[in-house]
Amino acid sequence: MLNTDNIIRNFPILTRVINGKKLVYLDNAATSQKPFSVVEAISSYYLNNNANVHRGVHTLSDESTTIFETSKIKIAKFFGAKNNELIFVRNTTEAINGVAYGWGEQNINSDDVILVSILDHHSNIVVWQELCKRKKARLIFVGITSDGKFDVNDFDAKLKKFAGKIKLVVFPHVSNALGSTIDLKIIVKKVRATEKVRVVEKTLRSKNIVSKSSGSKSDFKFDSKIRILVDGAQSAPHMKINFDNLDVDFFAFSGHKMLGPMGIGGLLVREELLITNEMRPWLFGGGMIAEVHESHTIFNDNLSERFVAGTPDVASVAGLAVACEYLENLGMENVLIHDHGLVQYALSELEKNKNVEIVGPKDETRTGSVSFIFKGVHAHDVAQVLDSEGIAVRSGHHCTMPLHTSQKWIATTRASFQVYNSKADIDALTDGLKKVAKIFL
Amino acid sequence: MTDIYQEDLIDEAKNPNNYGEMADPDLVSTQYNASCGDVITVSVKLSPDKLKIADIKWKGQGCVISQASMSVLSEKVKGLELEKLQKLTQKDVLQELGLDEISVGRVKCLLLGLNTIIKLVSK
Ligand SMILES: Cc1ncc(COP(=O)(O)O)c(C=O)c1O
Repeated sequence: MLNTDNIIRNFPILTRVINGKKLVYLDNAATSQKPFSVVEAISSYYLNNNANVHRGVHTLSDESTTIFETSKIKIAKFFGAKNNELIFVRNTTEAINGVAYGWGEQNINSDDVILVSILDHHSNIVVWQELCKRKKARLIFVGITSDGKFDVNDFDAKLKKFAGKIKLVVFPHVSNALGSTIDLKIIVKKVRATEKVRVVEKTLRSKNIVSKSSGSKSDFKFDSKIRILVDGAQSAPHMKINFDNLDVDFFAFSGHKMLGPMGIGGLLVREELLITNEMRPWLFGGGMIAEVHESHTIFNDNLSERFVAGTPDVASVAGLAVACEYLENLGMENVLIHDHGLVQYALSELEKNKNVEIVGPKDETRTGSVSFIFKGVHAHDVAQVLDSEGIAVRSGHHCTMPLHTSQKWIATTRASFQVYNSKADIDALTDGLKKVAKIFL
Repeated sequence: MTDIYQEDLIDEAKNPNNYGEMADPDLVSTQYNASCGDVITVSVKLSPDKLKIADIKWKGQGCVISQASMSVLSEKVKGLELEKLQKLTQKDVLQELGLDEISVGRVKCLLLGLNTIIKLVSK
């Protein structure tokens, strides 16, 4: 496990006293706290280097541009992605919307199928519902197993059932509600195997058509490609992401959940999709252009700049780069081990409480959080009593209403972890739950 | 903030007034609290002149605040003119519960019941 005594010193907010008690912050899946170095990077930028990027020849503009570009390189590298593959957005939600507008608008047609998981956050559901409405496409949900994991068998069945129709597969790398962690290798392999079968069929079909020379053009458009979008909001904070080795097409993340500032996040897009224009800019304006004429515009050749419409949030980009550095210095392998240690400890401590029913997987694949139902007490009331003890947890349906509805859970309480949490925080939580029982039961 | 959990408040939520279903309601409405999944269904019978609430029944699932406030509200609005009902505010609900204030995070819980009834009679 990590040395949290040292780490805590980097997070000034953790010294706060809430309702007379030392703050125990266990709402990290909603947003993480920020180390001093991140806050300092932001304020230092505004105090010393602020100027617009790519637009001036003066010294400050040069400094600002350099800060923006070196930060971008660091962040892309942190995710194992090429510089061109990183598009800055405000957060995961905006990244997913970017895929819908920049890719979906021109690649999803009527009758196409988008596969989504019941584990998905609202941001990875509503965006696709809306796109499907616009395109008359179909949104099909993949279910979960009885222990709250992504149901690979159901996924297989749906890949088969809708073969040839599926254009996009989306799912959360780690579920924010249940901590269920999806093995990307397994999913990617299944999807790519489906594509291969289709490619063979397609070749046979097109030969057939060619020999008869009666082919309608539309048969040639038969496309076997399935694009994969991974919602990495809850995995990026805890594990090493090597985007270029994943063989997925899109990966979305939020800076604020991984020790970085609010207001900055990223969409990673496989470079090929950018080069072939399969993914197009969805925001237009200054910065992303090469030439603008009254009648038309030519977009910037530089893929990295083509997706930056308007003035970027340089300070937040600088802050996010420092957050990546901070995590890198701890080592993402250690960060994951630390998290899994906390999750397992929390599971074993909470299981001792007979009023607590844990939801979601209990094995070593669970990442980031532990959610539970306190029998007989609504999650909001649990959270309110815990707050009186200085303990911050999340209660509700955690933006996964379809999941909660499908499982008939009204609401759950979630404790979620970061590098500064220790077993002592979990002990505080289990003590706090005794007070809950005293008040309500 | 645990001082909101007075014993009578918890009792009110556990043994709510007017809880249940109505055989032949004039109006029915269900509202969700989008952030926490609380749900309340209210059924109402109007007076013959359609100006007053003659009877009210409700069912729901949620936290102590949402359930207790719906319970006290259901008592308050029985026999009340619709015109007066529509003017009820957060302050009135707090007063009925014997509370001075509520944290920002719980306002939605507090008002779920009131919003459901007001929406219902505004139809
Ligand atoms: C799995 C998952 N996806 C998407 C989001 C949305 O993130 P943001 O609010 O930063 O856009 C969250 C945040 O709670 C999340 O946990």
